[in-house]
Amino acid sequence: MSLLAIHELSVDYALGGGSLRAVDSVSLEVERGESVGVVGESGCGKTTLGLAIPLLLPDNATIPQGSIQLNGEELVGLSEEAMRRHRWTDVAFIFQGAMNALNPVQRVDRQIREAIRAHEPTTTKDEADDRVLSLLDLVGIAPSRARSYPHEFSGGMRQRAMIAMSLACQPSLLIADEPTTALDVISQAQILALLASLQRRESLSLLMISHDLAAIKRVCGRLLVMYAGIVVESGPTRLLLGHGIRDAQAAHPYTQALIRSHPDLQGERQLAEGLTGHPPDLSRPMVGCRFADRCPKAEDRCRMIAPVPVTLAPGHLASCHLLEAT
Amino acid sequence: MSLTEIVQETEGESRRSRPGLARELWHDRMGRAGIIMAIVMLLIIGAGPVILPFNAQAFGTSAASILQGPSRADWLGTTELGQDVFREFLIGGRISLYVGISATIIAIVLGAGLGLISGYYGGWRDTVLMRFTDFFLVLPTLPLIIVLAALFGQSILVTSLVIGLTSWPQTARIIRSQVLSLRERPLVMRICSMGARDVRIMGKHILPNVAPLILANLVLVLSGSILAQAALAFLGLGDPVQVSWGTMLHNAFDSGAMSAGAWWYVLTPGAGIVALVLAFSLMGHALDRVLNPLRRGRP
Repeated sequence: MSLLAIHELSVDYALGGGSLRAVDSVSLEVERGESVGVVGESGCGKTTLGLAIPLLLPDNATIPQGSIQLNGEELVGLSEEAMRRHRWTDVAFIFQGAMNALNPVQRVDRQIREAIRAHEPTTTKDEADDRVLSLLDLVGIAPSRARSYPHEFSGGMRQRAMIAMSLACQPSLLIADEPTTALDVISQAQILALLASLQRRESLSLLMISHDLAAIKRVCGRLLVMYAGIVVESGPTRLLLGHGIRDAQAAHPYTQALIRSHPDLQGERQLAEGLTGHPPDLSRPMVGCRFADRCPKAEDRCRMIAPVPVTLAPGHLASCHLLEAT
Repeated sequence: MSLTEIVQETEGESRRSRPGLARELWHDRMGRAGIIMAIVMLLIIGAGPVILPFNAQAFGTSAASILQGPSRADWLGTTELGQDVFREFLIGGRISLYVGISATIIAIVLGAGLGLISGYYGGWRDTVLMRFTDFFLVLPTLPLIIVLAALFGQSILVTSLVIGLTSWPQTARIIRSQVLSLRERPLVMRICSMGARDVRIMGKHILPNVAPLILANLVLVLSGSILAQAALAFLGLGDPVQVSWGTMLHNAFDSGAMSAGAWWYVLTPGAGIVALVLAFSLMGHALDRVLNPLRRGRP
């Protein structure tokens, strides 16, 4: 049984009168000790998908269909009070811009201790303190810095402190939403190396949401590509992205376009190609393939009929008419 | 370079901590003046009556001892009853300060509490609470205090309650607006994702973040309350038994000290009120300048 099994999940946002389907029938599984990446442009439903798992969606969001099972337990429809017991102990979340998620007027060690003691009330202050120090050590923050205020940390350190905090209650699943955005490249490298090593050493299950293919490539074993609220392609990261543009085996035109929009450091000099246009307006009904308007290879049928996922290799699925066996 | 090496290298670059609040206040000219004045006034009010006790029964025995100007025996002259003005001034500060502080506690607890709830929950609670606040905000405070004090009596307790219950709306408004912005920060989302309940989020995380704002407001409400108490007592709505600076002014006015040219009787309590109110106002404005992000280029 998978640790996390999402089946046909949809999320709607109510918007003054109408509504918008931000996530449309997404299915996804994360095995124990596996790391899965979700990529896509802004506004394609990545964050909404992430927030839906611990039921942290904004008030105007609803889940009209689908199921989210964590450790075999259904989360959709769970009361706030029941969900509260799972938060942080079963599923922890590193937010987009998490380095601003520390309380500016409390010392870092106290904030991590609060997380431990709130969930395990029997822990004494000394035990909790020991755990705080070992957690900070795990993310490379010296014990002497534990009693600092967040503003005394650099951005990267704050992000690492957040990662330490997310591990405070030994969650089985860690969801990281853009964990490296807004950091400089050195800090990004640190955070990614840290996440990758933690994930391997602690056999953590990680769901990493990012628009950065390179980041996903460093950390995640499997990759989901989202576009306009649906998963257009999924498969092993190594297979989909390869080592560079030339041996990347991504099949969906959208994934290929994403890959081409990044410069390839190892391969020949080649101009990175940007993707033109915008993702479609999700509040309007959609016919056919959602990517058709921006797809260079779009045919007539692409605009008429929505494609269904095709299995290209074991574990490699893509939804595109051009890949269907003719 | 390994991860730990990179980490150790970047460890040193973290920023220095900013100086403490008291220090920043001290470096502000208004703030420093306020602090010094407040300390002097608190010393006078606290230690004065112990050193020079006031005896209300020490009436003058002859016409020659009433409303007398400053002399060696009575440093700041005598009252219409022949009592020592300076000694009465020393004891009178206690009531002014006592009413000021108790009214401030009531106003701040109410204002901060309502502001916090209103800003954090939003929605209908916010609408209801803020219309309620607006109602109190537009009421002319002094006439309301006068009416309430006249209705419910003249004890210190009533005066404190009446002033406290009419001074909270500004605080509620200010705290609410700050909480509205705090609520949207990633901080609140994070604590929520950790499974915290609303009470913990508000009490342990939002309240400490608005504490400086509460402090700045507290000092301003305090000076307002002291002034309001003086106004009430001057109008004869203070506690007639417990002498305060306002009561002294009232008595001076009633006994015709003003027309008799007994300046010492009028100026002494007046100066006390001005000094105390000014001390807290200066501190309040300095705190506002130090803490208000709009007035300082601090992130």
